[in-house]
Amino acid sequence: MAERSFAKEVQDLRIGAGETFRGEGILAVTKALLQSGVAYVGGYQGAPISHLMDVLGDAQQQGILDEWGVHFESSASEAAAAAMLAASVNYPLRGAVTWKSPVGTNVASDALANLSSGGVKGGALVIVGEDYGEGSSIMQERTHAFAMKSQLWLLDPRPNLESIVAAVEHGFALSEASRTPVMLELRIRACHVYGEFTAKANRTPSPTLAEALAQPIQDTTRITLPPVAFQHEQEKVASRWPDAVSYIREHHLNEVFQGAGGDVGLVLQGGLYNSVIRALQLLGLADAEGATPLPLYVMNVTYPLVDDELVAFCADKRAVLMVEEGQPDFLEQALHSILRKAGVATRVEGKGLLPAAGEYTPFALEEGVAGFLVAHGGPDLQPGPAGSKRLDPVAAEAGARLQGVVPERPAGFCTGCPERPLFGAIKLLQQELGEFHVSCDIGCHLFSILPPFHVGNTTMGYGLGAAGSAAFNVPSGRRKVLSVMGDGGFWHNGLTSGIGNAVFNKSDNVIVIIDNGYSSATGGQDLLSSAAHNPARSTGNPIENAVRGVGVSWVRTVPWTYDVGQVRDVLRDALASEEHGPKVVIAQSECMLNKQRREKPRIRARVREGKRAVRQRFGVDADVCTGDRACMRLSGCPSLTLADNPDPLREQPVTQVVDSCVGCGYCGEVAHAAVLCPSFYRADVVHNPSLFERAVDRLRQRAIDWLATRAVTVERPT
Amino acid sequence: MSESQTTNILVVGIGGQGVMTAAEILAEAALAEGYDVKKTEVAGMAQRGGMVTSHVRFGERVLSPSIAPGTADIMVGFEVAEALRWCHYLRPEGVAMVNTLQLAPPVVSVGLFEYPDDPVGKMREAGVKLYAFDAGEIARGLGDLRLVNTVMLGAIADHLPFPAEHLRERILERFRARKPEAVPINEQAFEAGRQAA
Repeated sequence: MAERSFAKEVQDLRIGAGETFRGEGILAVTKALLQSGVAYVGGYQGAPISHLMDVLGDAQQQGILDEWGVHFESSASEAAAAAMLAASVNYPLRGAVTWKSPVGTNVASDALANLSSGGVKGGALVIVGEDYGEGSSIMQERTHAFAMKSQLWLLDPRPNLESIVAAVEHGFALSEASRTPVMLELRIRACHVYGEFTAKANRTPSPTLAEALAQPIQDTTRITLPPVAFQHEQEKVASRWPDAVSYIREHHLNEVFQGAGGDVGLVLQGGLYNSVIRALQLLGLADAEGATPLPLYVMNVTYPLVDDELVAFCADKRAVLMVEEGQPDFLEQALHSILRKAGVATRVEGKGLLPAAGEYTPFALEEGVAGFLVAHGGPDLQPGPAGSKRLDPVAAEAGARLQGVVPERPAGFCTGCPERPLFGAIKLLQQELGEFHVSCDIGCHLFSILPPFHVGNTTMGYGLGAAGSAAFNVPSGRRKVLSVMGDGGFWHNGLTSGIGNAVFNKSDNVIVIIDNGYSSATGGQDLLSSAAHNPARSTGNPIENAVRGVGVSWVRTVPWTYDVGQVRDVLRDALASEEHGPKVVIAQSECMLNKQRREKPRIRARVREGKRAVRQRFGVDADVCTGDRACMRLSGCPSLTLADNPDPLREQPVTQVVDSCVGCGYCGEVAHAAVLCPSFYRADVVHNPSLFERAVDRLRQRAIDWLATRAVTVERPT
Repeated sequence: MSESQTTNILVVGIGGQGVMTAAEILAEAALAEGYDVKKTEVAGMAQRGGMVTSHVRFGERVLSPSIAPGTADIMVGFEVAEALRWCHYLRPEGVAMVNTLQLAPPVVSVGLFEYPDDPVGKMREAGVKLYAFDAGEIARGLGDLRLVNTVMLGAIADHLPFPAEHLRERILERFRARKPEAVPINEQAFEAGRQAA
């Protein structure tokens, strides 16, 4: 089960024509897919479209997708999802896939390039969650480059539900009209924006997948093999591109807001519309409804551009500002080129005034837009103070000063995370054997590079932790190289790129696979090796079987990572082994976030019903703790913090375990494994104890009270 | 309508403290008053111990959810260093309600960074108008640490452009639906929060 359930919300996907659909952006996308008669959907989870996969999964489990004959797969990778669109090459079937971009697009690009070469008959839509800017977890790049290199069309609609739904519907039609796959880009806030739109009836696909299969079509002119591949390239420029531009123009996919007319204007990506309007509001140039006197050309399609629309918008203006997020400035360069070729002399401003890189929040846009209007706006369009000048100077200065004294609070391993003991064990091993190179992977486990572990030297991409250590397979270094990958990355590609690669190349490196039962970092989705039963998927396929299946003979599974001593010993054995071939250690323990999500409601329910429930937690005996913080240096658990020393004669603060402790036991284990400290204790918190337990507790309390009285008596001087 | 007719509330804290729930309740209460409401949050890493901020904006018509620095009317700080981190979002006449709880991040616990000394004093020195109190102490006094959220909402209740009782009703309504036995204690926590501010 994923982190968030949409079981209730997906019921709204059934609403009919004319009714008002209210909800989140990703739900609107799903409804739009059903309204468009989509036949099949696939994808790979990752922010900001993880919830789209979760919505589709819940809609499948509730039987909603079946009602309209829609096939849904939780694809093994983005490449698998992109390849699924092959069903739209020969048949007029509409298909949609989704992933996090640009990383997912990187993975999918082989299939995408083949798909866009041969082209499609049925509408093929790729919904890319553009993970750019605030809160992003990946390198900062643009999907735009992929659209240009493969000649896929790129939609970037205004972030409101009506525009997003229209983009899905037009996306399919544009794809069919131009025989080209279409990408629909949604930024993180667009995925989660709430709003409403007037729904249409859902449509059963026509033909259905089964009907298409009954009439197989082979058309070798659609298969990328020379000489046809050369013909595909000609088709792209000779017919598909012009047909796309015609569709975009005829259906007014791009929007012009004339404002009060005038001879300056803004050209902007549709996805930035809300931020631009807010920036104009902050400058006093837009009202609460978003109306502005400034003319706007909104590119709801950012590739291909419609040259004559841009020429028409710019020709009567002295200057325009191109608002384009990210770099390089593809659109700004294109706009220059389009206007100059058309002999239009309008001045084009852009990255010279706006930040060259980084997210365009309203506050990032303010100063650039203001600078443009100060220079070119004339008396009617003068902005109010922008940026820091808008703020009270005293407050702004104080704010900057105060912020500087607050320590960073980076995200890290959750309380009780089973990966913490693994990296604690690696740390202990490094203390014993000296520092060694660790090749990391994408996932929660990459938090290992942060304090207190500082473990990890590189990360090359999802599932590529083992491949990232391949070059170090040399006799002098083989016992000093370790790589890490998660179960998500393992099934995504790590089995071949990491394990198979190591077997084939006779690598002696050590590879750790973290098997925590979920694709945790993306929201707790199930995987092939998940322990959970999932009626729609096949789970419970052991990683060890797969690893042995590709030829690894040295495999050790550690079933409980909290046993730090055992993890350390197995890793030491792996590093010391004289056996040839890769050494694979599978470190198992359930993701604590998902475990708690399941366990907490269960315990709460038991307590409410008056039934006995036991919760474990750890504590530190303040009288024993020396306050040397050695436990923290090997743990970094958020529930381990400092408290005043209860002993008035000692000033050093002591360690304290706060309420968030989930009783994983790691702090005690690592302290024991490192022979650090006897001050940790485990307590069982018993809710609704039995009569016997109550009696024993009373006895214990009496004994303690008696001993305490005696102790006081003894200490008193006579 | 100008920006100044919109009420901007910034809720800040750490993952797991109930920042997002508090913001959701505020948004619901404002919606029930007939306001147009927008809300946004940065919470991607929240559950993994990171900081959380939630922006709530309401007024006759609000298009954008994010609060600009220097424009928040009210800041609700669930942790005192987080309040210090974000207090520059307040406008000069804005008010901060700060829980004096200090949660040292692991980078402080392991000795890499210092936790700020006297965060409340620093904010006061900078001219921030604030009410600081130990919401945890109040909650524990009432018998349940989980009441902190209700205490904090009670604290800002008299600074909203609608009656405090309406916010209280909104909170109690949630408990009535999910956990009716917790209604009286939450009512007490709400009033205790009002008193604290």
